[in-house]
Amino acid sequence: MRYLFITMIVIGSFVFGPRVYGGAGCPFQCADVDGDGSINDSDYALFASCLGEDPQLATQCDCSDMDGNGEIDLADFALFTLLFQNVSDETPPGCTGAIGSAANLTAYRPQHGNGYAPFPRTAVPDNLETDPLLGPGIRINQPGDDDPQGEDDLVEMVLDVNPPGAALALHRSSSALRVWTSRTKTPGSEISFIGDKTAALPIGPGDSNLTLWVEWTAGFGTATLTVEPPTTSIIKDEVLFHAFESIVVALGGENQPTSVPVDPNHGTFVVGIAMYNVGFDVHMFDEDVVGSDGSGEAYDTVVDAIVNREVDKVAIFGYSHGGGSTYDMADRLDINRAGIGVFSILYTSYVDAVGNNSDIDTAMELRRPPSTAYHLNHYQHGSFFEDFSLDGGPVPNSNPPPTGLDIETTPWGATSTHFEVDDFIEVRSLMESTIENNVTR
Amino acid sequence: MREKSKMTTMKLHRFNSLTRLTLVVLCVCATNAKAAENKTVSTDSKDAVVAADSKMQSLFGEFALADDAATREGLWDQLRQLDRTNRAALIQQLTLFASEAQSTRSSMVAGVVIKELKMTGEDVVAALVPMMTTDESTLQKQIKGTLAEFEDQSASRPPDFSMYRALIATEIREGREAPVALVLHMFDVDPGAALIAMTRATQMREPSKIREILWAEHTVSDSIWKQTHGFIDRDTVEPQVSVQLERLANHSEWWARLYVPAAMKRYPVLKSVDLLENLQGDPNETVATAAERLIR
Repeated sequence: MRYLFITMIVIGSFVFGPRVYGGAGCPFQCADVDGDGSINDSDYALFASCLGEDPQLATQCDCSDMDGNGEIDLADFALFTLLFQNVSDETPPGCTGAIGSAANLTAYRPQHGNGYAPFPRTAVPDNLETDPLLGPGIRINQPGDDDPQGEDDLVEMVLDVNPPGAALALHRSSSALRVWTSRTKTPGSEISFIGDKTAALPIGPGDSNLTLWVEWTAGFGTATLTVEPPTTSIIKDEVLFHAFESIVVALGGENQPTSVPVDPNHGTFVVGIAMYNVGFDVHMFDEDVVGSDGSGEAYDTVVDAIVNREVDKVAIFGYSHGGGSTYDMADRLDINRAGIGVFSILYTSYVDAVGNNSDIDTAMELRRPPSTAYHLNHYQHGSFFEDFSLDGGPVPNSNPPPTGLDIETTPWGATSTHFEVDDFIEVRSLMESTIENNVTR
Repeated sequence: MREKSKMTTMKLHRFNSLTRLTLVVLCVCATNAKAAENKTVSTDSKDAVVAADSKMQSLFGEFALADDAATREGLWDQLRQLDRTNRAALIQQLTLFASEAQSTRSSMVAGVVIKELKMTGEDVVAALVPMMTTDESTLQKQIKGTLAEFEDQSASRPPDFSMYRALIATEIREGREAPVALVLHMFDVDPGAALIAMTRATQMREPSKIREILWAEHTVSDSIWKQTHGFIDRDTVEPQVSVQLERLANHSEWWARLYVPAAMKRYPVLKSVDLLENLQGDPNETVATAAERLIR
C-alpha cells in the first residue's frame, strides 16, 4: 500500500512537477537524505515528503533528487529502494544505485618499545574514537626523535572493509598526520597524501582489513583521519587524534614488577592502566629503574618526551618505594631544568610513600616532591608486628589539605596495613579523578 | 701490579664460570664473621662456597607471612638470636632471601631486620662485598640495591664511597688486591666518584700523578655538567674530554683505565669505539671485559 501511494505521487510529480536540476548541493551519500551515515526509515520519511517537490525546496529534497534530473520521481524512488539499508559510495546527483563499501577504523592506545607491554594492546572503543579527550592520543614524533627503545610513537590503526578489497582512501584534517604501512616507518611504506587525501589504499583484492600506523609530526592539537571512497567525500568512519602535551609516570612498590595482565593487587598499575584507557600517555615502571639520584630509565623517558616530543607537562605517582622514587625523580627533573627545557610537574601522588635510597630503605618519605603543582598523599600508620612499621606520613602542602589523607581515619581504611593501602578503590578513585582534574592530556 | 691484578681477575672469572649454573652464592661464612670484626674482606672468594641456609630462609619466610603479632614476635626472638650468633651470616642470608622475594612483604624483610637490629653500614658492607662476585644477576642486583642504603646518594649529592675506600685501603695496605667486584660496583654507581675514591684508597702519593687523575675527572665531569644544564649541546663531546679519556685509557693503573668504559656506559654520548676497541685488548681482564661489553 505504501509503495502504491509513493508510485502515484511519483507519477503525479513527473507530470506536474518543476524541472530544476537538483542533488548538486547534497554532501551526503546517495539516499542518506538526513546525512546521519545510514539509510533507514528516517531517510525514507524525508524522501517521501520531498516526492514531487522542487529539489531546491530544502536540503533533504536536494538530496532526494539522486539522479539529478531536476525531479524527485520514480527513478529516484527506484534508487532509494536499491540503497535502502545499504551504503553508497556515490553522492547526488551521480547516484547509480551501486552498493557501496562499509569501512571501520579502529585506533589503539600508544605503544611502548617493541609492542604494548606493560599494557595490553587496547583498542579505543568506537564510542570514544572521536572524543577529543578520551579518544586516541598520539605522541608527537619530531624528526630526530630517536626513541630509547626504538620507534614506538606511531599509533596502530586497523581499517576493516566490506566487501573485501573495497577501494577506499584516507582524508586527514591536518598535515601533521602521516600514515605508514609499517610500524617503524620502513622506507617506501608511507602512504602519500595529495593535498589531504590519499589515493586508493593498498587493500588487496581479497583483504578485509589493513593495518596502518599513524604518525603525528609536529605541534599540539587534534586532527581527524577519515576513511572515504577515493572519488567522493562520503565519510565511512572517522577517528580524532589528540597530540599528547603530557607524560604520566607510574611507579610500583618494591617487588611489584609490571605485568600483562596487570596484577590486581598492584594498585599503582591499576590506576596507570585506567588513565591509559582514557587517553593519557602513561608509562609504568618497576621502581627499581629509578636510582636514588633519580636517574634511570623512567627519568630518561620523561626527558626524552620533553626534549624531543614537545611535552611540557609531567605527572608522577608511586606507592611505597615507588613514592620515594617519585620524590627522587621530581627532584632530579627540577635540578636539571636548565638543560631539559620548559616543563611543569603538574601532579604527583604518594601512596604510603617510603624513601627509596635503597632496596632496604624503610624510612617514611615525608618530603613534598620539588616543584609539583599538586600533590596527593595517602598514608596509614605501620606497626612492627603488622606491616614491619612500613608507612608513609603527612607531607606538607598536600591534598587533601593540609598534609594528605590518613586513611586510618576513614571508615573504609581504618584497619589498613602498608601492604594493602594501594588497593583500596577509594584511594585509586581519588588518584584517577585528581589526575583527570590536574593534568592536561 | 697489572699482571697481578690480571691474574686475580682471571681466577675470579674462572671461578664465576664454575658456579654460573648453581644457586649457591660465593661467600665465606666463617671468614665473614672475622671479616666483619676486622672490617676487612677477602679478595679471593674461592675459599668456601655457602649455599642458602634453608632453616634461615624458612624463618624469614615465616616472619614475612606471619599474620599475628604473637607469631611474629616469637620469630623475631629467633632472628635476634641469629644476629647475636653471626651477624654477617644473617645479613648474607637476608640478602639471599630478598633476592628471591616475590612480594613486597617478603622483599622488605631484609630492610626491616637490618634497621631494627641496628646493623651498621660497616656490618653490611663487610658481609656483602664477598658475595659480589656472584654471577646471579638477581643477587647482584639485590646486593647493589642494599649497598645503596649506605652510599647516601641523591639527585643533588654524589655517592659517599668512604666506607668502600677505607675497606679497599686496608686490603691494599695489607698487601692484597682491591676487591674487583666492589671496584666495579663503585664505577657503575658513579665513575667520577669512584675514580677519586680509588686514587685515595690506593694511597697514591705523588702529587703530579694525583693531579693528573683529578684533572681528567674534573674535565669530564665539568663537560657532563655543561651538557646536563644546557651550556653545551647534549650531543657535544668537547675536545678536551676526548684528550683526557685517551690519557686515562693509557694510564698505568687498571682502575684508572676502567674509568673510561664506565664513564662511556654512564654517559653514552662519550662513547668512542676506537678507545673501547683498544681497551678490549687491555692486559687487565676487568677493563677488557668492561670495554667489550660496551662495544658489543
